[in-house]
Amino acid sequence: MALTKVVMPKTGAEMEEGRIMAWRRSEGERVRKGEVLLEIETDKAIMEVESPESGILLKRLHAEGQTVPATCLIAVLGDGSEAAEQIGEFIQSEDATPLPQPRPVSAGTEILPPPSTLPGTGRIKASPLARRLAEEKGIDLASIEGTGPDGRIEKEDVLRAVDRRAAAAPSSDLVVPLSPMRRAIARRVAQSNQEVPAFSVTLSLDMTGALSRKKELQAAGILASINDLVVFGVSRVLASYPDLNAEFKGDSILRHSDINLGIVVGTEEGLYVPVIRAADKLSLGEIAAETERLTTLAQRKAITEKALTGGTFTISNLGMYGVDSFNAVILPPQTGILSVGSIVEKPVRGKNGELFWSSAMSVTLTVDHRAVDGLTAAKFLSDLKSLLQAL
Amino acid sequence: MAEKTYREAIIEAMAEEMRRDARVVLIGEDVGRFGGAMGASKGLFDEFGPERVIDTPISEAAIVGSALGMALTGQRPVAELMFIDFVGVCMDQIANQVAKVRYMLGGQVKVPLVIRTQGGAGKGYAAQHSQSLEAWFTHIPGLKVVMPSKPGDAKGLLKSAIRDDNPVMFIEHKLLYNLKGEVPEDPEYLIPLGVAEVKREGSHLTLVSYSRQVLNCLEAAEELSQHGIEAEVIDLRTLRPMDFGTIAGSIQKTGRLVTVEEGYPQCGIGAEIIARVCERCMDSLDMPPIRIAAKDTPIPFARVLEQATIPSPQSIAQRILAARKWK
Repeated sequence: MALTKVVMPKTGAEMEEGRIMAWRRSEGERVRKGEVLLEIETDKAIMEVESPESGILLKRLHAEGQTVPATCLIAVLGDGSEAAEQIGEFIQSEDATPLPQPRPVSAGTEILPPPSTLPGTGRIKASPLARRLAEEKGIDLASIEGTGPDGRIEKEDVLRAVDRRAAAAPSSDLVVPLSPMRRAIARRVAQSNQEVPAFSVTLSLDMTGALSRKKELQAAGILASINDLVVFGVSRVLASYPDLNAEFKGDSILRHSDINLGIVVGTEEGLYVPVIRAADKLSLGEIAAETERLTTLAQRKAITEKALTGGTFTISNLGMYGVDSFNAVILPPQTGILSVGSIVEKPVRGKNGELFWSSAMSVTLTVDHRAVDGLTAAKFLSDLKSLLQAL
Repeated sequence: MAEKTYREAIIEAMAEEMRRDARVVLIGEDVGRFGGAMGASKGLFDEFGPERVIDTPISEAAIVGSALGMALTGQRPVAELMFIDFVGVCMDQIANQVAKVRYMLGGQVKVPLVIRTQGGAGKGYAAQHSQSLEAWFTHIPGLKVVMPSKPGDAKGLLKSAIRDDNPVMFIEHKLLYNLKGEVPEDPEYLIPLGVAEVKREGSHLTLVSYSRQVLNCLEAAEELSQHGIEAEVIDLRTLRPMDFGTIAGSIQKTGRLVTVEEGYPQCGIGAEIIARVCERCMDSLDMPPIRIAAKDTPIPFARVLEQATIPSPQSIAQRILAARKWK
């Protein structure tokens, strides 16, 4: 069997690099075609990389935590009969990425994950005790000089490094490098804030009717959340506001014919925005089911890149966390985003002066002022209010 | 406490146990009238007579076989094999009968049998009278193996071995018989089998040894001390069962292991200790373990070659000093 390469997949046109999250298979292990070799994190999602062939995983070129450019060689498969030189030549010829230079570590700081795990070759010579101590004390072995035989790092070397660190800075601050996903989020929101002249309009609407409608649906076997009701409402109202379902292109506005609604899903790692396609063609039950499916996939980090692209308008809901109202950041090139707050019981004065309780929910529409004016935004919210109150 | 030799300590242990328990008998070549080839039974024949101190023909198989029979029928025999090198002749008795009979009879019998013998080099007795064959016995389930390094330990351990209901190989060292040391007079002075002793405390490395090499380790430790290295010296005293807890505790403190034995390196006592330390204390090791043993060759007759074959205080210290750059 010829040697087979495993590369960092390029999952989308914008993907430049991916981070190796976890190796599922060890060197020397037999793997079958289609079995999962490792998990990677791109700027949009965490995904699994499958083995392109059956064989033996001969070499893993990068350690967990390392970021590797897309299409670069990350592992080699074979049948186990190959000589070490043959594998080495193969790796050379495939022009694997050069070993990353160890990042400079300034005193008093700690870099996570440790840059010491050099790919391929990179085992640092250290005694088991020194390794254990370094891990316990958070010392990067790559930053220490070993004074033992052949430069082996021993206990004393680690303890000296601990002393040096303590002397240099008593601070226990952590420097945590950005994950590709965090970096992507940072880039996108910074771009939004710098480029998009955004403003927000907030409106409080009465969800009393919607809540009882929700209960009726539940009795009929349709499990829809408040958020699903809002998504449903937006999907129906948006068609009348083409500039809110659009892209601002500088000297033109691209009005999308489809209504693809992005739903913001927060996880520990960061944000996913899975997209409900052609939401205006879906029933409330279908919207609820699709939202449930996409949210679960995102939370399990199993969502595909495709499900995260193509949104034309976005809805962000923090109501379940008791947030009254907030302004979400527009995701360029979209022109609008709706922020949904929590439902609060409020006393309201009726037309004839009587007081009654209302289940009030605040919704905030943030728009790109280059494409949309305040009047349009206010009308959109007003229509949404009418629709939701009439449910 | 009286200062006595290792030989006197062994005689005293047997005499006390024979006075205490009429079932204790001694059997072997020249152990009676002659007082033992190493003089380690002098006086016992006069005190206890030919019924309890039994001279035998030159047949190790007969000695061990008879002693086993006595043990199975209610006596508590001590059998002496003049040289451990002769053990091949009675190995079937030891490995297949003595070690297994209690197990194979489902515990219906006890085997309160001590096989006393002596080994080790240093007297120019050549390849067939100078061996350290303790590893052979530590390999066999059913046997206990005891190897004391000093007179007091010899007495306390031999008395415990005689009172034990299982077979014990009690291996002395031919160069230790004249070694003097404190020996408690107390007839109930017993050292439990399977308990090691820290003979010297230190923080930089752990020397694990037994029998005569403990003395070499203590001497080497003094030399290392002059280089600023404080060695801890553990005397195993019993090789099987082995007191691994004492070793592990010391490794946790020092992070460095050196084993010293007079037996051969391959599959030896050091090999066993290093294997266990690697299995259970890997994260405490700061240096690859060092195994110091006899050279892998028959023990030479010529004195200078014999000396070069077995570990000495100097060779132990040199190996350790060369292992790394000590500050």
